[in-house]
Amino acid sequence: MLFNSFPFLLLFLPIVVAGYAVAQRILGQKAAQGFLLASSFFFYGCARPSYVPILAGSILFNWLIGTWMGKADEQTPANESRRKLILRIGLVGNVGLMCSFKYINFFLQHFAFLNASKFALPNWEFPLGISFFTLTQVMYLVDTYQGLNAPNSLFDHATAVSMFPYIEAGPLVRMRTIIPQLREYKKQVGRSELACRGIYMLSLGLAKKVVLADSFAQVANVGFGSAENFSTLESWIFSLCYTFQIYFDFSGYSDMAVGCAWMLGIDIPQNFNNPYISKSVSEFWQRWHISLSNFITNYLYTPILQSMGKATITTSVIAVMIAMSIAGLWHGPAWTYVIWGTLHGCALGVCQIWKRQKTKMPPWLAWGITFLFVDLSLVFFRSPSVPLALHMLHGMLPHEDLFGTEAIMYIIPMNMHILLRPVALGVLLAFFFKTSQQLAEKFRPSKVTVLATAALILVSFLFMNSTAAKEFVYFAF
Amino acid sequence: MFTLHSNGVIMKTRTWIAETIGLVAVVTLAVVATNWSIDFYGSFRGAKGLHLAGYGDVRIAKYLLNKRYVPDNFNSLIIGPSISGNWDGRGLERLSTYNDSLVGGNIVELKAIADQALASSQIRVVILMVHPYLTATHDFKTVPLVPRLNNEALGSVNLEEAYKQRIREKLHLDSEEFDAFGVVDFTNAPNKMNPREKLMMTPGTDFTIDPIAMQTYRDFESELHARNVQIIFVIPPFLQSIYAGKPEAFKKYNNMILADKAEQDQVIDFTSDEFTAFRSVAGNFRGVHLTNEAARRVVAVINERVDGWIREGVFTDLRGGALAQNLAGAGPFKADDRMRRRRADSIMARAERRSAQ
Repeated sequence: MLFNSFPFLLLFLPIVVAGYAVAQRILGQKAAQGFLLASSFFFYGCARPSYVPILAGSILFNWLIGTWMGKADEQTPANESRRKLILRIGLVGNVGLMCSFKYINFFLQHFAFLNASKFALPNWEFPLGISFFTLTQVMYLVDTYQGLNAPNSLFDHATAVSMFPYIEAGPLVRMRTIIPQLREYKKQVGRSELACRGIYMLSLGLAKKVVLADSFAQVANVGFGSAENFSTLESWIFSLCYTFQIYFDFSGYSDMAVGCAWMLGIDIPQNFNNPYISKSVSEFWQRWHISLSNFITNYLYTPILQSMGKATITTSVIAVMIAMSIAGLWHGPAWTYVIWGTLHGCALGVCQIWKRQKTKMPPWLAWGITFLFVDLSLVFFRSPSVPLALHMLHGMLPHEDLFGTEAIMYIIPMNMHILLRPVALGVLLAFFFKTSQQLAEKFRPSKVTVLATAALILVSFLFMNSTAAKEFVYFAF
Repeated sequence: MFTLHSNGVIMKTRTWIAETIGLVAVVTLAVVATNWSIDFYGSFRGAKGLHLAGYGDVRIAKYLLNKRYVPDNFNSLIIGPSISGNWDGRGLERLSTYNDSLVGGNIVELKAIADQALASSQIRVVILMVHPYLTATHDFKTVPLVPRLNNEALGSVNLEEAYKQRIREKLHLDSEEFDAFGVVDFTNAPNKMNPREKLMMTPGTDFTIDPIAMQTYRDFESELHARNVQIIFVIPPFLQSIYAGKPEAFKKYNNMILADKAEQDQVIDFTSDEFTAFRSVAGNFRGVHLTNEAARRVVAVINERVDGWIREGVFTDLRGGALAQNLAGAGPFKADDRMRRRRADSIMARAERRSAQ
């Protein structure tokens, strides 16, 4: 069930939000939490019921590991090594689960030339959201090991991991920020005021996805779905359209996730903060997929750096490159993602060296270089293969067909004029407008916000009824 | 994380939620009710005798018109890519023909559209092009043509565009995409081939066949046979210089398509020697398309053949369509005169009542 579908918006969400609120009031918090847990599993099972046992198994496994670690909590050297061993078992289990579904084919196909018959590739589709609920639980295990949170009860752990607003594509949440909110609802803000903000945030995210991202996608898909020779201008248009598509798609999804969680009275972290106004790649990663950035910094980069001994500029650059390559691979089993991650690792390394040199660059130039880099790197992220990515990049270089528009005129879906408005609006919003978070912070229940929210929902409904609901980009990861 | 503001609340939060949801519900219902009552594509209520031209996205418009309007008013279809887009079915005197051809259309899209009309069993004849463009791809060019699309007529971006185009047409600022017979006017069509057509017609090469599209073509043939629909395969004319570049490829392709032809199916081959003179006149073509005048001549040939087959008793069970009867001999007309029809119906009813008294 997609966030941008009528069954979710008109049935599932209102029933769950109302049911949760009523259950909290009448039956108490435990019963409400039970209702939320059942609803989340139902939501997850709608994608494919056969995924549910995998999610349930992963939750049970991590809960057992966390509880086991909690039992060896006394500060003795023997317990410390035991806890480390338990953590390692937990990490291997999680990475193993993810690899067995996501990466087994990727690795085996590189050995297939040795003996094709012995390397018959299994055709396992990876369960929706496995990358997200696995990382969420990796964070839980590491935090439990470091004593940052106590082991959860199975009930709390299952509810917090499977919560429908973020189970399928994040944001990545820390258990220790969610579980206290389940136990005790924050009293400092009115429940219905938070629900209002949630509806407002949801409407912003929905419009971003169905009006903007899907319009950019219609253009980008033509360019990236073909090996034809495009003019330089067309190649740039396709690449830029994907750059905007992925931003509006994923930030729209994240806004909807935050909005849904607010409707339930739960606060989850924001994921985007105007990334395309960044003036360096390191600033970009502070604004782009923030929850993943935090994970990379705390759970990949820092441990890698620590394992290298003394922190120097060289070890730091190597650590960031390794961490970003892994983050690239996390997105999917393809070299295109590894290259994308490695490119960002290199760029972050350059940023670190540049920062040390204390050389200043004009802000407009810094912004231009950063945006250009992000756009070019996303060509790898979007392309189905490395040769096609190189083909697209080659097309972006000036060549004899500089300003041709034949492909745009003939191949783009013929409702191009319908796409122009949202595409133009999207470019303006990405650079010059407030983020959804900033808008939500200034939200007041008033006639103006009633009209704004209703208008956003109505326009979104119009677009939703015009094309079949499209999956979010990050559902593929 | 959000910052809390307890001050500055202008209205009660519960009122805010109620008003927002209420406003969305009221506007949604109003839009749906309005569009249902206008019934722009004649897809919700009976469409017999209406004259509905196409506006907005051509594919969506034809898909929706084929639901009720086409089967209510026609008994035969022309199905092909843009090459048959300007073939006017009014030239087929013994049939009532709607042109379902699509610019850039492939068989997957065309089958989806035609299936809407075929479901009603009113369609008795299908004039099906044999053209490599139909089986070169299987993707939907704009949106997937699936039953869910029928809801678009209740409110969608395409419908909004269609209304705007209709208004612009009324103000003489724009024109319809195709007329009430599904016919496109190619007077101002580009007089050159697009990149895909150029690639397809490269001399000395075979035509690319998409296996899914080819299978769909075969399925469509079988479906038409199963429904007892008479098929007329038409191999359209190509400019002689294009045809001469790859005659073997054309023959190979035509033979492959016609391999599954049933005994009762008919074939008209405009690439045969009989039509070499026609194909050799460059003035008959605009790019790969026929000029409107040349299209009229091609339709006249088909008309003559159909007439012969009917006289010989090859074709049976043909009924005149309502629209063909209403518009026989009529010149260009403006679309959708539902109001006029209602008025005419009420005048007729009054007259009948009077005569009964």
